[in-house]
Amino acid sequence: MVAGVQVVAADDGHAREVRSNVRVSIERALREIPFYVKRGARLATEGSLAKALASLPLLHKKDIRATLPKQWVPAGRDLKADLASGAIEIVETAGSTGERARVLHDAGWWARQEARALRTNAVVARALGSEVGASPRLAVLAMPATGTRSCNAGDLAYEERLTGSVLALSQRPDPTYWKPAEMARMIAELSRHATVGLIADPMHLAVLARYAARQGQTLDVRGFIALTHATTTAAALRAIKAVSSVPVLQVYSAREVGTLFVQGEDGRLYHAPFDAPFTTHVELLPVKVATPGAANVALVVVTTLDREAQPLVRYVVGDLVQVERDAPRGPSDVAALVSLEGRVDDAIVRGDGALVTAGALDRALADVDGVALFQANQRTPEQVDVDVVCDDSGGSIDAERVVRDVRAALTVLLAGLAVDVRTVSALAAEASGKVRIARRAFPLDYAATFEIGEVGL
Amino acid sequence: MTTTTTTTGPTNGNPASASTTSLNHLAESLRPEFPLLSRELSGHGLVFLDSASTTPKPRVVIDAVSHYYASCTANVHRGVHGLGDEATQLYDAARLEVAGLLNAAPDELVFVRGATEAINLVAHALALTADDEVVFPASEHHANWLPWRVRAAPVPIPIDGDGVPRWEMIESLITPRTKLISVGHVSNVTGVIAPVEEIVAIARRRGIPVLLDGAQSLSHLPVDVKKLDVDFYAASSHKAFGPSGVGVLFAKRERMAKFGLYQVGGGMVAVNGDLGIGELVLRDPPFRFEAGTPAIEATIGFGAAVRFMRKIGMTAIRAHDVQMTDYLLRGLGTISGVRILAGDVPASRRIALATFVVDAPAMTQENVARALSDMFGICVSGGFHCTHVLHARAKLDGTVRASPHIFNTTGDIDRLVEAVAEIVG
Repeated sequence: MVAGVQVVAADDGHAREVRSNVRVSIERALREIPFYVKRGARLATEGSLAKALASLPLLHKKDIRATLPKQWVPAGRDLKADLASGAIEIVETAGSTGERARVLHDAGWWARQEARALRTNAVVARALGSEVGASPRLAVLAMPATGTRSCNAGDLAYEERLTGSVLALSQRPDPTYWKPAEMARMIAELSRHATVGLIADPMHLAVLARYAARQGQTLDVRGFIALTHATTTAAALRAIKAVSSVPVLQVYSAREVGTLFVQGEDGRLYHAPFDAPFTTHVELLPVKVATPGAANVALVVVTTLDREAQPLVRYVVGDLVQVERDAPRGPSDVAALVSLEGRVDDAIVRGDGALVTAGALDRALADVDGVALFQANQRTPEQVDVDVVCDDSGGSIDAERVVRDVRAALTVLLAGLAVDVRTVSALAAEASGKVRIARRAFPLDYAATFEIGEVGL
Repeated sequence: MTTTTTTTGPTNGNPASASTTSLNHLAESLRPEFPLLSRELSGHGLVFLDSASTTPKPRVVIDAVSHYYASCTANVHRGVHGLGDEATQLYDAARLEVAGLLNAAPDELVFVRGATEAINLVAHALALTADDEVVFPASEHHANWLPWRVRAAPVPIPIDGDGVPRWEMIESLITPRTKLISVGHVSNVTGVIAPVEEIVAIARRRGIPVLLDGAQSLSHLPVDVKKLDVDFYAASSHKAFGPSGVGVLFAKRERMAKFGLYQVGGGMVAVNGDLGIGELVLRDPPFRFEAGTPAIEATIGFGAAVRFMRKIGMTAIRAHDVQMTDYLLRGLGTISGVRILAGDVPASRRIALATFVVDAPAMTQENVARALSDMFGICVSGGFHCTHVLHARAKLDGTVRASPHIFNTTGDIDRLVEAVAEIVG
């Protein structure tokens, strides 16, 4: 029994059934979806599922960007009518690294799978109640769909930001420019909404949390806080926990594939939902190169199992994770995760070929006093520039000392690279509203970096 | 960057040449970064000593501007396409760079066309009337003179014969009608640094806001607006290695929150509902004060310039500045027939800038500056430097101004000193 998670013993019969479902889903997608039909992809019928999957190419975001929506609905369906009736929805993904995409969701799919997945965590399940599909009072703090940008929709009233019982809190895309009045409104609305669960971008929530702390306030969230949308840094987590009294958990999801992993009370992230029917099959492709500061790093590759519109086969979400090899596995047989390690496109590449994940950078800086936020920028293969936003909430801070400490903390991790550290007032948010803690300006050779083949963790 | 330490030997008996090695180290390493410095002028290798007018641009700034044109030309804060996102990100990053340089919050910075517009914005935003007094040194640049002459009752602080303000008089000039004290951080004529701490202390006691014109300080001094505790700080990009057409106004949040509208139009409005139906919703500051499409490429270049300076380090720049000032003053001081304004103010209280009067028969000071260019390939300023009142009160018919910067070596100063000596002779 893992704290907070109902672990179902891996049963051979059940596992066989799961693997069979994966095959069925993939074969249907390859048979019915024009995108795959045009490419003539075939799933090997002999051998293990892993081997069969390895015979299929990886699917990247750029592949689906250019082909939506027509190539992604089953042959014979009237896309126009489905969109008009709401049977299929077009959803914009923010794109952590500026790679936006549109995806197709079957009507209500996102809410259904999210509600089931969140209940993987026992605390969340208790907070939301046992009834799947109920309308819990949630608030979302992330990039607003509308807001006071140039020639946009302007501010919306509380009632206008409600979708059912889900409240969209933020109206400004970049938290760097949030005004005190804006943050005071959000804090007040958490109470007004009697918020059971807050689903938040951790970087955005950390800004709100630090403001609340300065005002001597707490965040009135009554059940749980789920951090999603981005890597959560140690400093952000500290700031959030300082003003909240409910469990804070990490949720790993992506608009394209739904909720993949939910953190349990033991700190590990478990493939979600934790019971059948499963919504995804996840492959964790090991990294072939050294990953200093992180162990068992893998690339997340997802095959969706319950989508009529736009089923994705071996889709590269673009994230790295640390895999827990020895943790108990549930019926889906997907290993638990120790941590989310950030985007592949964020990882720093050393001269010796080693890959330094955003997560490894954050762990190296976790104990450096005075760091509120940082961003490591690898503009060239030889040079990394590290911008540090100081946390002066405890009084004045010695910026030169922070710079020295950050440089020292990164010495081993970024060995062989020229590292320039400086303090800045704030970090620039991406067009998506997300704040990256690392950026790399040149591409990575996937085949040279990952075990693309049949070996999975 | 290369790091050669070539030094030029002492000329004209310059007594400061003993310490030239460390002084030239930084300059020699940076010179290859400035394409302009490799050209010739009038058959000579270029000696650029006019950075107080505008600085040459380093390669990183030129590249940043070119990159925008070549790779992501798009409007900012408006486009929904990928190019718009890229341009917006580069543009927004520039504001963060400048914020980091000044130790300001990004939302305390308004991008404007330059220091002149920044000061005019403050003059407009304070809604001054003809009875409102603004105290400022009589020696100020027109940018920090005319807004108060046009919009308020100007109260110039008297200056001495060299154009240095008589700061001890400032308190006596403050009245209940004083709405602002506006001071050039560094004089564009004498190069002397204003005693900002003392001025701010006086202003705080009297509850008067302080504007600091940082046109000449941004690229020379470490500037921390929090430590300085000024209410406003105005500066231009082009005097700090960036493109022209963009500058910045820092205003404390509480000050900016009280600003009336400046210019209106696209970019500063969230919603403009139809008359009688919808409402007018403005964007938050600072965007509220940035109407119209901004100088996108210039701003991106400004960000690159600030990054360039921060990479060198403002402390290192200042150290070079002090040494260069000493070398420049000593060199010019050896020439009989040359009078340096405020020449007795030590290097620690001024930037690398010397304005002087050349006693050359039948030549105006403007003639001298032209001769330096035409005969020796040396660029300096000549004339009144937008400070007519200073020159009138100091009874000067113009002056010559040499303003070196981090890329200048002692060799450049030696050539200036030799050339001026030849003209005088």
